[in-house]
Amino acid sequence: MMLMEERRELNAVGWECPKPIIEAKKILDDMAVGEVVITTDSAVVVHNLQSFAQEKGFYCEFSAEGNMYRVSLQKQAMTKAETVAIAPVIVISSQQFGRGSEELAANLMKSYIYALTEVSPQPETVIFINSGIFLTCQDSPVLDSLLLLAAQGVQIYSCGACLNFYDRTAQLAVGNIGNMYQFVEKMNQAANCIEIQ
Amino acid sequence: MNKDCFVLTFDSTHQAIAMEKRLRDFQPVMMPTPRQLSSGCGFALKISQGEEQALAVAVAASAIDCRCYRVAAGRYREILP
Repeated sequence: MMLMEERRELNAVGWECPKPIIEAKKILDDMAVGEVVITTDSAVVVHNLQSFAQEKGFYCEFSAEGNMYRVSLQKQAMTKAETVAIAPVIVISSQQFGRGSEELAANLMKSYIYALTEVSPQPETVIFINSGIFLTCQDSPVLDSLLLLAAQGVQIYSCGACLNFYDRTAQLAVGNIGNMYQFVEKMNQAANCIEIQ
Repeated sequence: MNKDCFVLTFDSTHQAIAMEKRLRDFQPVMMPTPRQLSSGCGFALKISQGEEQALAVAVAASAIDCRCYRVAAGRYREILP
């Protein structure tokens, strides 16, 4: 599909922030690819438009003439890689995140798994191995977050051998039991595999 | 963070960890400090249940410094000193 490049003008002379940014954003949100040129008499507005552009990934340039500024914000077509982020397979091989203070590591894991419920893209699969399986069992400090992930469609697997070794099979509280063949296949086939240890 | 809740932020991770233990009755969830709140140690506590007044009493009783926000419709409003 060919995208038409639009060019729009926004006369923001006399406007104070945040109005010029809000109005520029509305115009850019409406266009797939294109440019909005904002005329302003405020250096603060120019600065804030530059910050806005940097944050949103718009190309920004400006020119000054006397007390007037013209700021051009350009929205480029996104590449496929930018628009379709790859849902990762995540392998969690420890009850804690990283080495160091156990108390810190336990809380980092809670924070990490909570964040998984809110960020995009969500993982396709999360695999729990070794002491990681304590996180999917009853009394896990992250059970609510994992139940939410499962409800959102994320596949959650716990290593059957590990549940057996730690005598926790009966306590599994979220997701399914998997075996090493499944895990090897999922890891090998994953375009994006992350291990948390 | 779509549902209404409270979020507590801290200057120190030790305060966050201590507060999590103190507020067990409110079932706090350890989370990263939300991006909207620039200040903070990295850990925050999310509390999805309980009344503001009861939380205020418990926070005051803990004597642990924190900032408390009510989150509604994705907006953060500081509610306790």
